[in-house]
Parts: sequence; C-alpha cells; structure tokens
Amino acid sequence: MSGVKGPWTAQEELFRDKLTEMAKLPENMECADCTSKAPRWAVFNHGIFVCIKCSGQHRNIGAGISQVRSINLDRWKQHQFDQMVGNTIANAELLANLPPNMQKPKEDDDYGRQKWIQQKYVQRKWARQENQPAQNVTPQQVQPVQQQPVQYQQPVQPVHQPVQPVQYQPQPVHQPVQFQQPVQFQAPVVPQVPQFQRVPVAPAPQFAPIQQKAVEDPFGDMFGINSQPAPVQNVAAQMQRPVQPPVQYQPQAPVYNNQQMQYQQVTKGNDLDDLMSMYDAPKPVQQVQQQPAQQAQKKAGGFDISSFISNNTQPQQSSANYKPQGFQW
Amino acid sequence: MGSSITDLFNKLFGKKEVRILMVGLDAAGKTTILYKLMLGEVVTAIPTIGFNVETVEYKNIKFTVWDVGGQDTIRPLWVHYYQNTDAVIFVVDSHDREPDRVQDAREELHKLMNEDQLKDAALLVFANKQDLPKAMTLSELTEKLNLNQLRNRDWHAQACCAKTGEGLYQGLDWLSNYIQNKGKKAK
Repeated sequence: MSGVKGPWTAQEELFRDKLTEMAKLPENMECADCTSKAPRWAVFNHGIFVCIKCSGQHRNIGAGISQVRSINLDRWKQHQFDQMVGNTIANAELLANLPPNMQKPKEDDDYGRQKWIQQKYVQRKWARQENQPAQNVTPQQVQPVQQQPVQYQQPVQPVHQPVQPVQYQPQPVHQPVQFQQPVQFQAPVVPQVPQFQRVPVAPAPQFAPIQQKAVEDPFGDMFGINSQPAPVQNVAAQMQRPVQPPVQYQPQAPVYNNQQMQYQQVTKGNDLDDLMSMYDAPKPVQQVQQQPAQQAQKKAGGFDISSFISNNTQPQQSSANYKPQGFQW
Repeated sequence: MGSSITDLFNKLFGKKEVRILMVGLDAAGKTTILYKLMLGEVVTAIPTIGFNVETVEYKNIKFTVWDVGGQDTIRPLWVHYYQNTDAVIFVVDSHDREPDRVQDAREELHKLMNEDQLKDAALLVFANKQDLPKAMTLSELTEKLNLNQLRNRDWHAQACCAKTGEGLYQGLDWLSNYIQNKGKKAK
C-alpha cells in the first residue's frame, strides 16, 4: 500500500502532528488569505496556513512564488517545516503597507481571492520595504508555536455549557419500592423532566410541605406519613437520574467514543417504558461533529477520500477503521 | 473481404474508447489539463482529494481520462486505477526545479512503469507550465526523468502549457496515432 517512499518516518509523523497543533493556534485558525476557518493547507515558503481554495490559487501562481503542502496529506521535510512561522508573522511582513481600508477577501469571493493573492504575493504590493523597520510582532505569539504547542491541544470544538456539579447534592434516596406503582398513573411525569434535569433527587422544598400537611391533618396517618405525591416525585426523580447525567457532562465526552455513542443512540426513546429500559444505559452524548477541515474539503472537492487517508493522521479515530482493501471501484 | 469492409466502416464511423490514467506529483497541473481539454477553459483548480474523471472526444476517439490526486498520501491509491488502462499521462511541473521534486517525479514515474498492470500502456509525458520563467525544457526533463532508460515502452514527451492549451492536442495526436496503430498491429 505504501508508495515510492515507503511508510511514514517518525520525523514525518512528528511534523504532521506539530503542524496540526500549530494550525490550531488562534492566529492560524483563520486562513491567511481569506476568512475561512480551520485551514488544513500551508504555503511553507511564506510560512502561512491557508484554506484549500487559497491553496489552489497559490498553486496557480507557480512554485517559484508559493509552495503548497497539505498539513496532513503531504510528507514534510525539515527545511519546509522550519519555514512555518505562522500567519501573524508572515502577514506582518507581507501586509506591512496594507491600506487600512483594505481587507482580505471573504471565503466565497473567488475573484477577490485571485486578485488578493496576485497582489500580495506576486506583486508584493503591500510587503515591507527594505528601508522600513521590521514590525515588532510580539514574541508571545511566536513562542507557543515553537516551544509549547502542547497546551493548545484541546479540541477545537467550543465548550457548550458550564458543568454544574455544585447543584448536584447526593442525598440518600430513601423511598421504598412499594411506591413505584403510582408512577404509572402520573401523567405529569413528562413535564417534570426539565424541572429535575439538574437535581437528581427531589428538592427539599417540595418535600417539606407534604410532611407539614401530614402533621396538620389528623387523618394524615391513615395514608402513612409519606403521602402519595411525595414518593411519586421522588421516584420520578430517581427514574430521571440515570438518563440525565450524560447531558450534564457533555463537554467532557471523550471524542473517540464516537461509535459507541452512536450505537447507544439507537436505544433512545421517549416512552416511559423506554426510559425505564434505559435505566442502566447512559443517554448518548451529542454526536461528535465532523472535523471542520474535512467539511471544508467535502465542500470544496467532489469526492472525498480524506476519511481513508487521514485515518492514521487523526488520533481520535481508531486504527481498526483503516481498511484500504475496501477502497476499490 | 467482409472484415475489411467492417474495418473501413469502423474506421469511418466507429468510436474507439480509450481509458487514460493521468497522474503526476501534486500541483503538476493534471486537473487544469483535464478541464482545459474537456471545456476549453482554464479553471482554477483546488488540490484534488480523490479523483476527477471526464470524457474527451478527439479525432473520433473517446478518451476517458482519470485524473487522480497527487498528494503524498494519495499516490499509493493510484494502484486502484491501473486496471484496463490503455495509456498513462504523466504530468510534470517543468517550472519546479527543486531537485527533491524532480527526483520524486522520476521515482513515481519509474515505479508506475514497472507495474505489471501497466506493462502494455503507452506513456505520454506532459512537461507542463512551459509559460513560466526558467521552465525546464523538454530535453532537460527527458534527461532528468531518465525517460531514455525505459524499455519496451511506447512513450512520448510533450511540452505544454495547460493555461493556454499549447501542446495539449499535440500530445493527444500522438496518443490517437498510437491507438490506431496498435489496433492494426493487433490484427
């Protein structure tokens, strides 16, 4: 399966991983030449990260001006990697004299992109002149690129909602089994679901009036101290609990559990019976989004085989998925 | 007698179908060549992740051209396109004089030519991007790619420029001649 060059060397894999990390730095999260996000291509002789469309335009102006590599589909060499300074430094040099009213083209502006790249790289219209002092780009932006890119390794996906472990107050659930029966007749169980989403056990305030009532009512004892509504709510809460926690901890869901989650999602249902049957099965976490770059590639090209190729480049996908034998037509 | 009339008829009206595999390093200009031949227009291609396939009719021959991406990790997938290939078009960026790249191109080409499934395929080398300054000449490239070392192979090298279209049809001319002659030889 390997080509002329044989399997990837450890160094090539290291470059690929480093480049992937560098591409996730805030400064490189947007294409150097347009507004598209999460670029996966690089013009190494300028040291920039660009989107696939801009990479096409860079290829168009010739290898004498721009040399394009994919950060994960190409095998890099040391001297190529060494030139990758990142978008901020490169643009400080190339756009030193950019008029303040000019901006880089929008993502879908193909004509603007062509013009922009022509002016910026071929004519070097806005580049720093020899007699101009170099702009002092803050070294803070440079440091993480070369020395500690590891700290940016977190997934790019935004954190969705704050986890609230504080509200979670584990109380001993003391309701006896005998009160499970009334649950079946409680129509309002469904509307109560949102109310109990964060607190698994019935909150104290709701519990209190019932007991109070039992004390006030001289006949309260006839029905037992735990009058009917209270256990119902508690059982309902109890019932909700196994369903609920995964929602709460969603942001922490490990990315690589993708398949398992998908499988579990099949068992999801709205019926009470389904809920009960899920007692032991945690509710599936929202499915992990596709990598933005892959989306971009899908959008840009016709047929997308990057899923085959990038398997060994993306640690979150298990290598068991990699079946080149299936790639036949 | 009967067969010769059929031959004549086929020669006049029949359409030959030829399967062509177009490969080369990334950014050599394969996709641009394909669409220049097919549409007569210059498209700004983006890197091909996967392949493009188009049919080009020329001189009563139907060329089905498979244009496969040239990125490092995509090249090992070329092997899946070898079967039933009548001719290989190998595209080279003449403007890219980087020794590493020329060496890559040479190695890929010779690996291709050693493939058993391609032993009967003709080879057309396009020395693309002749419009760019300091482009390697055809003879220079022929030497650097060691084309003269190829044995038992019908090959032809053609300088071209995909943007203007120069040289592309000369290349197809050679191919169609080859296909016609090959048909005669087989009989």
